[in-house]
Amino acid sequence: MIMALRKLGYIFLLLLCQYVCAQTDSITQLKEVVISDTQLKDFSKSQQVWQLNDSIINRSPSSLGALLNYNTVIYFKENGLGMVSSPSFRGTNAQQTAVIWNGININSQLNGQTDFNIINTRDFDEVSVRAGGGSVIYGSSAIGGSIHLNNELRFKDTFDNTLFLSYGSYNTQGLNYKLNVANKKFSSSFAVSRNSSDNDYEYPSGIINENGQYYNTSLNASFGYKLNEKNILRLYSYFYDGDRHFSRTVSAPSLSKYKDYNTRNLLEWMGIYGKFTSKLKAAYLTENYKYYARYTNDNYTFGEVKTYIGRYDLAYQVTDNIKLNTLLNYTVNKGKGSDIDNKNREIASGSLLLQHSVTPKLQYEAGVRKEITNAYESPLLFSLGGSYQVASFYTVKLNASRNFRIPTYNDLYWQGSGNPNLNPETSYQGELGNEFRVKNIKLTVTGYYIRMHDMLRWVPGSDNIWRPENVDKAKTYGIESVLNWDKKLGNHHFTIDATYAYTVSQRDGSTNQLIYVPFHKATAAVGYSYKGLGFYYRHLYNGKVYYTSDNVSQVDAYNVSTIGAEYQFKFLGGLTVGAQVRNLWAEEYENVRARPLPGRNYTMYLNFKF
Amino acid sequence: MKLNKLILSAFAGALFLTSCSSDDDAITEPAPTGDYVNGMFIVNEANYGAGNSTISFYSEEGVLSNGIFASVNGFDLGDTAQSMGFNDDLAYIVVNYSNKIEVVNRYTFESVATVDTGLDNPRYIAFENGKAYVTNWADPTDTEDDYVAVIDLSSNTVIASIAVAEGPENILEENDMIYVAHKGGYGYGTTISVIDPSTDAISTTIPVGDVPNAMEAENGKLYVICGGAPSWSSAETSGELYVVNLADNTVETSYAFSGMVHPSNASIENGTLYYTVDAAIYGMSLTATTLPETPIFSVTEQGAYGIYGFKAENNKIYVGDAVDYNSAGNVYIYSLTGDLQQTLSVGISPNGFYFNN
Repeated sequence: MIMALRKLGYIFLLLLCQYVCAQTDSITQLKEVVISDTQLKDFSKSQQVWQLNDSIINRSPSSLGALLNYNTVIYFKENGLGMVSSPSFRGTNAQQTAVIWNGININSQLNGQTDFNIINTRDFDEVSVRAGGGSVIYGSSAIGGSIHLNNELRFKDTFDNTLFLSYGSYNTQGLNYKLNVANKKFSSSFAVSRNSSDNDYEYPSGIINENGQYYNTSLNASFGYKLNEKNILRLYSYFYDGDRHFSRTVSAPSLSKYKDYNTRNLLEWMGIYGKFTSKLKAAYLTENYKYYARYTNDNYTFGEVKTYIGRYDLAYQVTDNIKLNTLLNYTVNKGKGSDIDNKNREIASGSLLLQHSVTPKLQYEAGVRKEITNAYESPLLFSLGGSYQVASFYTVKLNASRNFRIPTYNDLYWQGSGNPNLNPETSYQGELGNEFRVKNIKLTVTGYYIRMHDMLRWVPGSDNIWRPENVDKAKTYGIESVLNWDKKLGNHHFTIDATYAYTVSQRDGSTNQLIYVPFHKATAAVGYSYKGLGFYYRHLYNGKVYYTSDNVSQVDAYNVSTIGAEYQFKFLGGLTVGAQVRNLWAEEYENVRARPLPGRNYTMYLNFKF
Repeated sequence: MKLNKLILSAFAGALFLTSCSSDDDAITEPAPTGDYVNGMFIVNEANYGAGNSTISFYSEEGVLSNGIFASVNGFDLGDTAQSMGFNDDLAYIVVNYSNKIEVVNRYTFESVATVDTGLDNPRYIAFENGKAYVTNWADPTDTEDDYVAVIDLSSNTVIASIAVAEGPENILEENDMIYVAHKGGYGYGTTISVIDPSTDAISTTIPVGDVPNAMEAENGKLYVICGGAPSWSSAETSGELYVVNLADNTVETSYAFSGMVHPSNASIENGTLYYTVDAAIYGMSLTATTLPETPIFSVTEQGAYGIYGFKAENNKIYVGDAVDYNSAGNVYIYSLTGDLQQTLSVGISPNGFYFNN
């Protein structure tokens, strides 16, 4: 039944939706057992959670950054196509957005952020965006919001294969193969991705984007085993191996290269005992980078952190309407590198979460978290929120929280300039969300305000040596809105999905906008399908950003569009063939100063289920 | 310098007028013309990778013009302009990350040539014997590939490269010889190389203290400020001042900074060597035999983050303040005793001053 529902749902989504929002509660109960990150569903009801469905993932480039840039309110600063991509979510910086893999925070311990171009979206079954504060649950960096990458494990007889292939301009190749094998006792999911590109597009000036080539291979495997009806073992493993040359700019050549090698492993024992759900987790993560100033020789600098995590997650269903959840976490980081001191860091934390559905229309949730560590002074974090369905078409959500971003290895231990006496950055933030649903239309409008304290900034000392200090206070506020519409007329299906974000982000003592934060960003996707045939058009408007702190110099606003068509052949599980024209209007644009992005380019793809 | 020339010309003209009362146009060297004849260029390094280096000009009349390279030539200067040098009527701007030298007329700033082959991580430039000598770090992680590029000034092409010790930074010409200070890059330098322009080979190597980061020559002597090994090196050392006798290229004397002090910059004006320690400016008479105990003044009163560019010239001290390194920098002009006379808002990260007169 679940499978049938899912398949139906899947086809529905494939044909109709660009974009769906968080599941309704009834489905949540079913989903609860299939992913590890249950808090995303159970303790996120007073905030916005957007799930990006398979059809939009399949129609997007493989990198997480590109997926989110074209389909969400999050702004990305991308150092050239395929290069380092860092988000600004609600006007915050890259270290204030957390990436959560199956419930585990995977931001780099070295620089505190995730490079969104080294995550391949097709390795995951579910990509969700949770807007706003989440440190109580997810720890450091969940200030602007968090991105959730989940793998599903279902215990139903399954044997599914999916093969995705793409080929495009600049010899850009993509491959993803997924295999799901499951029965009532055992469930497994296996995904492998390989992406590569010569990435040698031409700049408007005629210069070729030299030294931009990259390739990466990633592998994600998940296994679940039902010991009995009450106990389930799960294992998740993720490997990423990437080799990227860092491309030139309009005014400077480049010979540099960057290698990433990351592994993530999570073992979980879940037990359901009456009203208690217990999850004991052990995780082992490694991150390793090598930076070659010149790929022409073997000299490199590197950084490496091994992270060991033990976690106990105990949920207690007090009544049908009240959930309690404690999270106890112990993390050990062991870091070393050519430029950082070898250090071990230990962090223990405890969180307590409560969710209470007072009536079917009114619920509230609350949480607190405290960390104990030898590395820095840790504040008491909290979250408090609620939602109320005022009318059948209108729900209001309120949330206030205190969140943090802990100092990174680079901040604390960089040789010659690390500062071991740093405190975490902290935020007080609040948001008011409005959800309107009328027939086929869903509109959410959320206003937020974030007050940042103790912001870390690397400041040059009088000796011209840069050191991080807790110097800044900043505020960021804005409005984000998301509109979804779909309409079905016989075999004709229409969809419109649009987002708009207005963001103001200022350091105290200045009325200047922080660099690389646009005031305006908007996306729109229009889809039409008739039986197996589908057309889609998506558009991104990225407002101007400043690249100097005095707001004198800017990167201009741009508009960039993709148009695509695809056809699904009814062959085995479905064979979809599609083609896209990216940058349809041949906009000459930069996202980062001196780094032009490609002109009009083409991609074909094939998605085969069997 | 220009003023002196004018006076000399006028004097010569006057002599001629009294002797043959012909008009003086025929014998007076035509004065250079252009918007940038008398004043100071400021090199604004700006942001590595962003290609937004600029040149500012501050005229003797007190008029500041920012971004003159692009406004004259219609294209951007490039990425991370490091330094500048003059030879005859031309100015040479070393653009580090762009691996090139932009050659312009020093009076009009119109582009004359671009040298963009044979340079690899270029830093500073000096001239002698119809050639330019440019220090190059090449791959900063490779300690063996550093060199001095030799440019034929008639063709603006690199005609030779002289392999040198790691981290060649400052370079100057004195007594027809080229002196190269090896500040070091990945490692820490401890020498001055002397290049003979008649052979384009290293004629001798002068051992000095750790990390010679600045030098200036005066009256047959070379004053070398050695910053000392930094705090994060395996063995931190305090700075030293070395004085080299240029007659035989041997170390005449050296002064050790007591405690753990890391001096930088070196600029000689009116018989005094000016150097800096963090935000403080020190002056040492060239006849003194000990290092000064106290600074003349500190730029912290201006709220300056530190000293990014430094020069003593025309009885003034010029300080470039990079502020946050990502917005318009400031130039503070002081008397030699530290009275602030002028503040200029220039390009991003002003790193050097070059006087065109």
